[in-house]
Amino acid sequence: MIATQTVVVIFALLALGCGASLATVLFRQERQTGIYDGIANFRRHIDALSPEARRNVISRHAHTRGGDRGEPRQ
Amino acid sequence: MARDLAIDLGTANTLVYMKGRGIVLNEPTVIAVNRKTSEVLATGHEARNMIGRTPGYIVAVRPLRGGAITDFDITERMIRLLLQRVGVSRFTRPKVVICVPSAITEVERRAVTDATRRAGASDAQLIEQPMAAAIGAELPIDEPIGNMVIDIGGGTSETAVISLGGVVALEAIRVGSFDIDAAIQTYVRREHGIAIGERTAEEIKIQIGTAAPMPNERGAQVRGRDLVTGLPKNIDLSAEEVRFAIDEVVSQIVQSVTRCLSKVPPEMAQDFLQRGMYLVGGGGLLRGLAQRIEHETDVPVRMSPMPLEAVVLGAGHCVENYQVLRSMFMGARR
Ligand SMILES: Nc1ncnc2c1ncn2[C@@H]1O[C@H](COP(=O)(O)OP(=O)(O)O)[C@@H](O)[C@H]1O
Ligand SMILES: [Mg+2]
Repeated sequence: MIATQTVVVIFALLALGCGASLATVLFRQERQTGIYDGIANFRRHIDALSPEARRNVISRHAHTRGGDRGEPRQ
Repeated sequence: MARDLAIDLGTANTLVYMKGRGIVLNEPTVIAVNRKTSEVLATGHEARNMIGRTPGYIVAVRPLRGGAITDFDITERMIRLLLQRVGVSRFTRPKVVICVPSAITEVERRAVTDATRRAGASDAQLIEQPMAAAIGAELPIDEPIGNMVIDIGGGTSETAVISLGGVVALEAIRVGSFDIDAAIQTYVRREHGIAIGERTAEEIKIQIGTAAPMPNERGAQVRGRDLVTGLPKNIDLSAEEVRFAIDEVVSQIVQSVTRCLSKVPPEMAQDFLQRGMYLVGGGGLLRGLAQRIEHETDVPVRMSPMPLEAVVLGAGHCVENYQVLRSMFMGARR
Protein backbone atom coordinates (compact mmCIF):
# COMPACT_ATOMS: atom_id res chain seq x y z
CA MET A 1 0.00 0.00 0.00
CA ILE A 2 2.65 2.44 1.15
CA ALA A 3 4.93 1.26 -1.67
CA THR A 4 2.36 2.07 -4.40
CA GLN A 5 1.77 5.51 -2.87
CA THR A 6 5.51 6.28 -2.89
CA VAL A 7 5.75 5.19 -6.53
CA VAL A 8 2.82 7.43 -7.46
CA VAL A 9 4.40 10.39 -5.67
CA ILE A 10 7.79 9.77 -7.33
CA PHE A 11 6.21 9.56 -10.78
CA ALA A 12 4.16 12.64 -10.13
CA LEU A 13 7.29 14.56 -9.10
CA LEU A 14 9.17 13.27 -12.15
CA ALA A 15 6.33 14.35 -14.45
CA LEU A 16 6.28 17.79 -12.86
CA GLY A 17 10.06 18.12 -13.24
CA CYS A 18 9.91 17.12 -16.92
CA GLY A 19 7.04 19.53 -17.55
CA ALA A 20 8.91 22.37 -15.86
CA SER A 21 12.15 21.79 -17.78
CA LEU A 22 10.26 21.48 -21.08
CA ALA A 23 8.49 24.76 -20.32
CA THR A 24 11.82 26.46 -19.51
CA VAL A 25 13.42 25.20 -22.71
CA LEU A 26 10.47 26.31 -24.81
CA PHE A 27 10.32 29.67 -23.06
CA ARG A 28 14.02 30.35 -23.63
CA GLN A 29 13.75 29.34 -27.26
CA GLU A 30 10.77 31.61 -27.68
CA ARG A 31 12.69 34.48 -26.11
CA GLN A 32 15.63 33.90 -28.39
CA THR A 33 13.62 33.75 -31.58
CA GLY A 34 11.86 36.84 -30.19
CA ILE A 35 15.20 38.64 -30.19
CA TYR A 36 16.05 37.48 -33.68
CA ASP A 37 12.57 38.46 -34.90
CA GLY A 38 13.19 41.93 -33.57
CA ILE A 39 16.46 42.20 -35.42
CA ALA A 40 15.03 40.79 -38.64
CA ASN A 41 11.97 43.03 -38.52
CA PHE A 42 14.04 46.11 -37.84
CA ARG A 43 16.38 45.26 -40.73
CA ARG A 44 13.45 44.74 -43.09
CA HIS A 45 11.95 48.02 -41.96
CA ILE A 46 15.21 49.94 -42.39
CA ASP A 47 15.95 48.26 -45.73
CA ALA A 48 12.54 49.31 -47.01
CA LEU A 49 13.58 52.89 -46.29
CA SER A 50 16.91 52.71 -48.10
CA PRO A 51 17.52 55.02 -51.07
CA GLU A 52 17.55 51.98 -53.41
CA ALA A 53 14.13 50.88 -52.17
CA ARG A 54 12.75 54.38 -52.62
CA ARG A 55 14.25 55.02 -56.03
CA ASN A 56 11.35 53.35 -57.80
CA VAL A 57 8.65 55.68 -56.50
CA ILE A 58 10.67 58.84 -56.85
CA SER A 59 12.24 58.23 -60.25
CA ARG A 60 8.90 57.21 -61.71
CA HIS A 61 7.58 60.55 -60.58
CA ALA A 62 10.56 62.43 -61.99
CA HIS A 63 9.69 60.91 -65.41
CA THR A 64 6.01 61.71 -65.38
CA ARG A 65 6.31 65.24 -64.01
CA GLY A 66 4.12 68.07 -65.23
CA GLY A 67 0.43 68.11 -66.13
CA ASP A 68 -2.06 68.76 -63.40
CA ARG A 69 -0.75 71.37 -60.97
CA GLY A 70 -2.06 72.86 -57.76
CA GLU A 71 -1.49 76.31 -56.29
CA PRO A 72 0.66 78.72 -58.29
CA ARG A 73 4.31 78.00 -57.83
CA GLN A 74 7.54 79.82 -58.63
CA MET B 1 -9.22 45.05 -56.88
CA ALA B 2 -8.61 48.72 -56.32
CA ARG B 3 -5.13 50.12 -56.23
CA ASP B 4 -4.02 51.36 -52.83
CA LEU B 5 -3.68 55.10 -52.37
CA ALA B 6 -1.62 57.70 -50.54
CA ILE B 7 -3.18 61.10 -49.92
CA ASP B 8 -1.40 64.30 -48.90
CA LEU B 9 -4.30 66.22 -47.39
CA GLY B 10 -2.51 69.57 -47.25
CA THR B 11 -3.93 72.82 -45.95
CA ALA B 12 -3.43 74.35 -49.41
CA ASN B 13 -3.03 71.45 -51.86
CA THR B 14 -4.23 67.86 -52.00
CA LEU B 15 -2.21 65.24 -53.86
CA VAL B 16 -3.09 61.59 -54.46
CA TYR B 17 -0.60 58.83 -55.25
CA MET B 18 -1.83 55.54 -56.67
CA LYS B 19 0.14 52.36 -56.05
CA GLY B 20 2.07 51.33 -59.14
CA ARG B 21 0.99 54.48 -61.01
CA GLY B 22 2.37 57.59 -59.31
CA ILE B 23 0.67 60.94 -58.66
CA VAL B 24 -2.81 60.89 -60.17
CA LEU B 25 -4.32 64.05 -58.68
CA ASN B 26 -2.95 67.42 -57.58
CA GLU B 27 -5.30 70.28 -56.81
CA PRO B 28 -6.10 72.98 -54.25
CA THR B 29 -7.79 71.83 -51.02
CA VAL B 30 -10.86 73.97 -51.59
CA ILE B 31 -14.54 73.11 -51.65
CA ALA B 32 -17.48 75.29 -52.73
CA VAL B 33 -20.79 74.65 -51.01
CA ASN B 34 -24.31 75.98 -51.47
CA ARG B 35 -25.16 77.63 -48.15
CA LYS B 36 -28.90 76.99 -48.48
CA THR B 37 -28.93 73.34 -49.52
CA SER B 38 -25.40 72.51 -48.29
CA GLU B 39 -24.78 70.76 -51.61
CA VAL B 40 -21.17 70.57 -52.84
CA LEU B 41 -20.88 72.71 -55.98
CA ALA B 42 -17.22 72.37 -56.87
CA THR B 43 -13.84 71.25 -55.57
CA GLY B 44 -10.20 71.82 -56.46
CA HIS B 45 -9.18 74.35 -59.10
CA GLU B 46 -12.75 75.25 -59.93
CA ALA B 47 -13.61 75.97 -56.30
CA ARG B 48 -10.37 77.88 -55.81
CA ASN B 49 -11.22 80.24 -58.67
CA MET B 50 -14.41 81.11 -56.79
CA ILE B 51 -12.68 82.30 -53.60
CA GLY B 52 -13.60 85.94 -53.02
CA ARG B 53 -15.91 85.99 -56.05
CA THR B 54 -19.00 84.10 -54.88
CA PRO B 55 -22.57 85.32 -54.59
CA GLY B 56 -24.04 85.22 -51.09
CA TYR B 57 -25.45 81.71 -51.33
CA ILE B 58 -22.14 80.05 -52.25
CA VAL B 59 -19.25 79.68 -49.88
CA ALA B 60 -15.80 78.54 -51.06
CA VAL B 61 -13.69 77.30 -48.15
CA ARG B 62 -10.42 75.58 -47.32
CA PRO B 63 -11.60 73.07 -44.72
CA LEU B 64 -8.11 72.44 -43.30
CA ARG B 65 -6.97 76.01 -43.53
CA GLY B 66 -5.42 76.42 -40.08
CA GLY B 67 -3.97 72.91 -39.90
CA ALA B 68 -7.07 71.88 -37.99
CA ILE B 69 -10.36 70.45 -39.18
CA THR B 70 -12.92 73.16 -38.64
CA ASP B 71 -15.84 71.43 -40.30
CA PHE B 72 -15.96 67.64 -40.03
CA ASP B 73 -18.93 67.28 -42.34
CA ILE B 74 -17.30 69.22 -45.18
CA THR B 75 -14.00 67.41 -44.70
CA GLU B 76 -15.75 64.07 -44.90
CA ARG B 77 -17.49 65.04 -48.10
CA MET B 78 -14.23 66.26 -49.57
CA ILE B 79 -12.50 62.96 -48.83
CA ARG B 80 -15.46 61.06 -50.29
CA LEU B 81 -15.36 63.08 -53.51
CA LEU B 82 -11.61 62.71 -53.72
CA LEU B 83 -11.78 58.92 -53.49
CA GLN B 84 -14.65 58.79 -55.97
CA ARG B 85 -12.66 60.79 -58.48
CA VAL B 86 -9.73 58.39 -58.39
CA GLY B 87 -12.06 55.44 -58.92
CA VAL B 88 -12.84 54.13 -55.44
CA SER B 89 -16.32 52.63 -55.15
CA ARG B 90 -18.12 50.29 -52.81
CA PHE B 91 -16.74 47.34 -54.78
CA THR B 92 -13.11 48.38 -54.91
CA ARG B 93 -11.82 48.75 -51.41
CA PRO B 94 -8.24 50.04 -51.40
CA LYS B 95 -5.98 50.61 -48.43
CA VAL B 96 -5.34 54.32 -47.94
CA VAL B 97 -2.47 56.12 -46.21
CA ILE B 98 -3.17 59.76 -45.40
CA CYS B 99 -0.70 62.47 -44.40
CA VAL B 100 -2.07 64.96 -41.94
CA PRO B 101 -0.49 67.91 -40.13
CA SER B 102 1.10 66.51 -36.95
CA ALA B 103 -0.66 69.21 -34.94
CA ILE B 104 -4.13 67.72 -35.44
CA THR B 105 -5.87 66.31 -32.39
CA GLU B 106 -6.86 62.74 -31.63
CA VAL B 107 -10.49 63.56 -32.42
CA GLU B 108 -9.54 65.04 -35.78
CA ARG B 109 -7.43 61.98 -36.60
CA ARG B 110 -10.33 59.68 -35.92
CA ALA B 111 -12.57 61.88 -38.03
CA VAL B 112 -10.21 61.56 -41.00
CA THR B 113 -9.73 57.79 -40.76
CA ASP B 114 -13.44 57.16 -40.15
CA ALA B 115 -14.40 59.36 -43.08
CA THR B 116 -11.93 57.52 -45.31
CA ARG B 117 -13.27 54.11 -44.29
CA ARG B 118 -16.86 55.25 -44.80
CA ALA B 119 -15.88 56.52 -48.24
CA GLY B 120 -14.86 53.00 -49.26
CA ALA B 121 -11.35 52.33 -47.96
CA SER B 122 -10.75 48.86 -46.51
CA ASP B 123 -8.10 50.31 -44.19
CA ALA B 124 -7.11 53.93 -43.45
CA GLN B 125 -3.85 54.81 -41.74
CA LEU B 126 -2.27 58.16 -40.95
CA ILE B 127 1.37 59.14 -41.27
CA GLU B 128 3.08 62.22 -39.90
CA GLN B 129 3.72 64.79 -42.59
CA PRO B 130 7.40 65.51 -41.87
CA MET B 131 8.14 61.77 -41.84
CA ALA B 132 6.55 61.38 -45.26
CA ALA B 133 8.40 64.49 -46.43
CA ALA B 134 11.74 63.05 -45.35
CA ILE B 135 11.06 59.78 -47.15
CA GLY B 136 9.98 61.63 -50.30
CA ALA B 137 12.87 64.09 -50.18
CA GLU B 138 15.29 61.15 -50.49
CA LEU B 139 17.01 61.84 -47.17
CA PRO B 140 19.07 58.92 -45.82
CA ILE B 141 16.67 58.24 -42.96
CA ASP B 142 17.65 54.57 -42.91
CA GLU B 143 20.97 55.52 -41.34
CA PRO B 144 21.78 56.60 -37.78
CA ILE B 145 22.18 60.19 -38.96
CA GLY B 146 20.16 63.26 -37.97
CA ASN B 147 18.04 64.30 -40.97
CA MET B 148 16.21 67.57 -40.57
CA VAL B 149 13.21 68.55 -42.71
CA ILE B 150 11.32 71.83 -42.59
CA ASP B 151 7.90 71.60 -44.25
CA ILE B 152 6.21 74.96 -44.69
CA GLY B 153 2.69 74.62 -45.98
CA GLY B 154 -0.26 76.98 -46.21
CA GLY B 155 -1.49 76.73 -42.63
CA THR B 156 1.28 74.86 -40.82
CA SER B 157 5.04 74.75 -40.49
CA GLU B 158 6.56 71.51 -39.25
CA THR B 159 10.18 70.84 -38.50
CA ALA B 160 11.34 67.34 -37.65
CA VAL B 161 14.54 65.46 -37.07
CA ILE B 162 14.48 61.87 -38.27
CA SER B 163 17.00 59.08 -37.77
CA LEU B 164 16.73 55.30 -38.29
CA GLY B 165 13.20 55.62 -39.59
CA GLY B 166 11.84 57.36 -36.50
CA VAL B 167 11.12 60.90 -35.31
CA VAL B 168 13.74 62.25 -32.87
CA ALA B 169 12.34 65.76 -32.46
CA LEU B 170 9.30 67.53 -33.83
CA GLU B 171 8.09 71.08 -33.69
CA ALA B 172 4.84 72.01 -35.39
CA ILE B 173 3.09 75.38 -35.42
CA ARG B 174 -0.18 76.47 -36.94
CA VAL B 175 1.48 79.29 -38.83
CA GLY B 176 2.32 79.07 -42.51
CA SER B 177 2.24 80.71 -45.89
CA PHE B 178 -1.46 81.71 -45.61
CA ASP B 179 -0.47 83.87 -42.66
CA ILE B 180 2.04 85.65 -44.89
CA ASP B 181 -0.82 86.43 -47.31
CA ALA B 182 -2.91 87.72 -44.40
CA ALA B 183 -0.04 89.90 -43.16
CA ILE B 184 0.27 91.48 -46.62
CA GLN B 185 -3.48 92.16 -46.67
CA THR B 186 -3.32 93.82 -43.26
CA TYR B 187 -0.30 95.93 -44.17
CA VAL B 188 -1.78 97.22 -47.42
CA ARG B 189 -5.03 98.08 -45.68
CA ARG B 190 -3.31 99.92 -42.85
CA GLU B 191 -0.55 101.72 -44.72
CA HIS B 192 -2.15 102.33 -48.12
CA GLY B 193 -5.82 102.42 -47.22
CA ILE B 194 -6.88 99.81 -49.78
CA ALA B 195 -8.45 96.40 -49.36
CA ILE B 196 -7.12 93.44 -51.37
CA GLY B 197 -8.31 89.85 -51.53
CA GLU B 198 -6.33 86.83 -50.36
CA ARG B 199 -5.52 85.74 -53.88
CA THR B 200 -4.02 89.14 -54.72
CA ALA B 201 -2.00 88.97 -51.51
CA GLU B 202 -0.73 85.53 -52.50
CA GLU B 203 0.31 86.82 -55.92
CA ILE B 204 2.22 89.67 -54.27
CA LYS B 205 3.97 87.19 -51.99
CA ILE B 206 4.99 84.93 -54.85
CA GLN B 207 6.06 87.76 -57.16
CA ILE B 208 7.89 90.18 -54.87
CA GLY B 209 7.89 88.62 -51.39
CA THR B 210 11.25 88.07 -49.70
CA ALA B 211 12.30 86.90 -46.23
CA ALA B 212 15.74 88.50 -46.44
CA PRO B 213 17.21 91.27 -48.62
CA MET B 214 17.88 89.87 -52.10
CA PRO B 215 19.67 91.23 -55.18
CA ASN B 216 17.48 92.70 -57.98
CA GLU B 217 14.43 93.33 -55.84
CA ARG B 218 11.51 94.89 -57.62
CA GLY B 219 8.21 96.39 -56.65
CA ALA B 220 4.73 95.79 -58.00
CA GLN B 221 1.63 97.74 -58.80
CA VAL B 222 -1.28 96.50 -56.73
CA ARG B 223 -4.94 97.02 -57.47
CA GLY B 224 -7.45 97.08 -54.66
CA ARG B 225 -10.52 98.89 -53.34
CA ASP B 226 -10.05 102.27 -51.68
CA LEU B 227 -11.38 102.01 -48.14
CA VAL B 228 -12.64 105.62 -48.15
CA THR B 229 -14.18 106.05 -51.59
CA GLY B 230 -14.94 102.38 -52.21
CA LEU B 231 -13.55 102.71 -55.73
CA PRO B 232 -10.78 100.66 -57.42
CA LYS B 233 -7.34 102.15 -56.83
CA ASN B 234 -3.74 101.34 -57.79
CA ILE B 235 -0.79 101.63 -55.43
CA ASP B 236 2.94 100.90 -55.72
CA LEU B 237 4.33 98.39 -53.28
CA SER B 238 8.07 97.82 -52.81
CA ALA B 239 9.76 94.53 -51.97
CA GLU B 240 11.13 96.14 -48.83
CA GLU B 241 7.65 97.05 -47.63
CA VAL B 242 6.46 93.49 -48.19
CA ARG B 243 9.45 92.14 -46.29
CA PHE B 244 8.59 94.44 -43.39
CA ALA B 245 4.92 93.42 -43.54
CA ILE B 246 5.63 89.69 -43.34
CA ASP B 247 8.57 89.84 -40.95
CA GLU B 248 6.57 88.88 -37.86
CA VAL B 249 5.22 85.71 -39.49
CA VAL B 250 8.58 84.77 -40.99
CA SER B 251 10.19 85.19 -37.55
CA GLN B 252 7.66 82.83 -35.98
CA ILE B 253 8.51 80.19 -38.57
CA VAL B 254 12.25 80.64 -38.09
CA GLN B 255 11.85 80.47 -34.30
CA SER B 256 10.06 77.15 -34.52
CA VAL B 257 12.99 75.77 -36.54
CA THR B 258 15.36 77.02 -33.84
CA ARG B 259 13.27 75.37 -31.12
CA CYS B 260 13.40 72.05 -32.95
CA LEU B 261 17.19 72.32 -33.28
CA SER B 262 17.51 72.93 -29.56
CA LYS B 263 15.64 69.69 -28.75
CA VAL B 264 18.17 67.53 -30.57
CA PRO B 265 20.91 65.47 -28.86
CA PRO B 266 24.37 67.06 -29.33
CA GLU B 267 25.76 64.26 -31.55
CA MET B 268 23.12 65.06 -34.11
CA ALA B 269 23.78 68.77 -34.11
CA GLN B 270 27.07 67.91 -35.78
CA ASP B 271 25.28 65.99 -38.52
CA PHE B 272 23.30 69.09 -39.45
CA LEU B 273 26.38 71.26 -39.73
CA GLN B 274 27.67 68.85 -42.35
CA ARG B 275 24.51 67.75 -44.07
CA GLY B 276 22.29 70.79 -43.65
CA MET B 277 18.51 70.91 -43.28
CA TYR B 278 16.03 70.38 -46.10
CA LEU B 279 13.19 72.71 -47.00
CA VAL B 280 9.99 71.30 -48.48
CA GLY B 281 6.46 72.66 -48.99
CA GLY B 282 5.22 75.58 -51.08
CA GLY B 283 5.91 78.07 -48.29
CA GLY B 284 9.58 77.12 -48.45
CA LEU B 285 9.71 78.62 -51.95
CA LEU B 286 9.49 82.14 -50.53
CA ARG B 287 12.59 83.94 -51.78
CA GLY B 288 15.26 84.49 -49.15
CA LEU B 289 13.70 82.13 -46.61
CA ALA B 290 16.49 79.56 -46.86
CA GLN B 291 19.06 82.34 -46.43
CA ARG B 292 17.17 83.75 -43.47
CA ILE B 293 17.01 80.39 -41.66
CA GLU B 294 20.64 79.74 -42.49
CA HIS B 295 21.64 83.11 -41.13
CA GLU B 296 19.76 82.67 -37.85
CA THR B 297 20.74 79.07 -37.13
CA ASP B 298 24.22 78.84 -38.69
CA VAL B 299 23.13 75.59 -40.31
CA PRO B 300 23.14 75.27 -44.11
CA VAL B 301 19.65 75.03 -45.67
CA ARG B 302 18.98 73.13 -48.88
CA MET B 303 15.91 73.14 -51.07
CA SER B 304 14.50 69.68 -51.69
CA PRO B 305 14.28 68.88 -55.44
CA MET B 306 10.52 68.25 -55.38
CA PRO B 307 9.25 70.47 -52.58
CA LEU B 308 5.55 70.20 -53.42
CA GLU B 309 5.43 66.48 -54.09
CA ALA B 310 7.83 65.14 -51.44
CA VAL B 311 5.11 64.41 -48.88
CA VAL B 312 2.83 62.43 -51.19
CA LEU B 313 5.77 60.53 -52.70
CA GLY B 314 6.95 59.58 -49.20
CA ALA B 315 3.46 58.35 -48.29
CA GLY B 316 3.34 56.62 -51.68
CA HIS B 317 6.47 54.72 -50.79
CA CYS B 318 4.74 53.53 -47.59
CA VAL B 319 1.80 52.32 -49.67
CA GLU B 320 4.13 50.40 -51.97
CA ASN B 321 5.61 48.72 -48.86
CA TYR B 322 2.49 48.64 -46.73
CA GLN B 323 3.25 45.57 -44.61
CA VAL B 324 6.91 46.26 -43.87
CA LEU B 325 6.37 49.93 -43.10
CA ARG B 326 3.22 49.54 -41.00
CA SER B 327 5.08 50.68 -37.92
CA MET B 328 5.51 54.15 -39.46
CA PHE B 329 1.80 54.80 -39.19
CA MET B 330 0.50 57.03 -36.44
CA GLY B 331 -1.00 55.05 -33.60
CA ALA B 332 0.95 51.94 -34.62
CA ARG B 333 3.08 50.28 -31.94
CA ARG B 334 6.69 51.23 -32.48
N1 LIG C 1 6.95 80.50 -55.20
C1 LIG C 1 6.33 80.62 -54.03
N2 LIG C 1 6.73 81.53 -53.13
C2 LIG C 1 6.12 81.65 -51.95
N3 LIG C 1 5.08 80.90 -51.56
C3 LIG C 1 4.63 79.98 -52.42
C4 LIG C 1 5.22 79.76 -53.68
N4 LIG C 1 4.55 78.76 -54.32
C5 LIG C 1 3.59 78.35 -53.48
N5 LIG C 1 3.62 79.08 -52.34
C6 LIG C 1 2.73 78.97 -51.18
O1 LIG C 1 2.82 77.67 -50.64
C7 LIG C 1 1.58 77.32 -50.02
C8 LIG C 1 1.19 75.93 -50.44
O2 LIG C 1 2.18 75.03 -50.10
P1 LIG C 1 1.85 73.48 -49.90
O3 LIG C 1 3.12 72.82 -49.52
O4 LIG C 1 1.14 72.95 -51.08
O5 LIG C 1 0.87 73.56 -48.64
P2 LIG C 1 0.11 72.39 -47.87
O6 LIG C 1 1.07 71.25 -47.78
O7 LIG C 1 -0.23 72.98 -46.55
O8 LIG C 1 -1.09 72.08 -48.70
C9 LIG C 1 0.55 78.36 -50.46
O9 LIG C 1 0.26 79.20 -49.37
C10 LIG C 1 1.28 79.13 -51.56
O10 LIG C 1 0.92 80.50 -51.56
MG1 LIG D 1 2.20 69.85 -47.26
